[in-house]
Amino acid sequence: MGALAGKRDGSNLYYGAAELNGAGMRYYGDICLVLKPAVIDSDTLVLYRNSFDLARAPIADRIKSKPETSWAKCTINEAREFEGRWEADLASMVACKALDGGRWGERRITTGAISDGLLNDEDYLEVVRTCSFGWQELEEARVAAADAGAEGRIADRLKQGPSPTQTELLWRHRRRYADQALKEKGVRTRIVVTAGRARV
Amino acid sequence: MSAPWYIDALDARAGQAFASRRLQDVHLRDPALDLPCVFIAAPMFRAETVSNRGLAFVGTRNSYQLGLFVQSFEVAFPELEAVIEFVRRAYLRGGGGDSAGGIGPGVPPRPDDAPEDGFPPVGGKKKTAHPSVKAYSKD
Repeated sequence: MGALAGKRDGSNLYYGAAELNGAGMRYYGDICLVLKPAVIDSDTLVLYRNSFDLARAPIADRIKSKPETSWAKCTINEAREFEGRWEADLASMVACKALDGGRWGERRITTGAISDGLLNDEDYLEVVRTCSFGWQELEEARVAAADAGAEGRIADRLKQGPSPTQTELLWRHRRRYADQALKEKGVRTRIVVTAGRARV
Repeated sequence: MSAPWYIDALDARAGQAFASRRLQDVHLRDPALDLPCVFIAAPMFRAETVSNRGLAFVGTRNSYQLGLFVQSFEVAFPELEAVIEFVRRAYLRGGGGDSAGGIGPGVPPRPDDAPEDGFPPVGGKKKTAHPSVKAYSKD
């Protein structure tokens, strides 16, 4: 990835996902931080799939079928097959991913369908940045409706009973703290109800 | 006898982990990625299946630690329930204030001093930014 991102030694690489209306990859945190479009370099590396697919069949099998001395070069060549750049290629990559398999036929493609196609459960377009970011670079923060609902239910049980568990209280406490910290910096938090629409 | 469970990736402070039933392999150059894997997360700590272990290894580029070791051996769990209980306890411990080389720097302070839901505020009087939030702030 370092070779493709312009960081030969692979240091200081920051991985994210392309997202439209959803709440991001839920496996890596409760809150999805959305960057302002203006702070993303036009030549930022975008991958059509998770870069760990390079280490899985069938790509890994192709690489290992070559002499071991050429594995690094073969890996880079394989990665280039699903490499793109933010400004030049992202729209085409999203279109290909959303239309993958031609499952839409003649039905109207809504924003929700495009959002779902772009980032669906474990499947996403990986974005590789070479620098971190601060709150000034944030467009907004998003949380999933399911998590917001769980948070509200914990609050309700705190008031009405039965009492929430200690882990539930700790989880809610930290979410509230993060929400407050974002608010203090002027970063709004939106609750994502569906992938096609977002409500404040 | 079936294979034990091992933790593939763990974010103790977030209460999140990936685990799989397998041989010890996370320290190898080519761990088996295409194995069934489960994801565990606060606050419910119910295991859900994910397609492969790739998601776990991706997490280690972010806030997750790779595997769980005692010296050079991965810690084996006889049942999935034991993994879940470990992750849950680690999460609670991370919220208990263990700055002496433990999991995290301590529980974040309350967002504000205002009473919540009619209850009086608990703990912290002075509001300070949490270290993990500061790390993302430039000022």
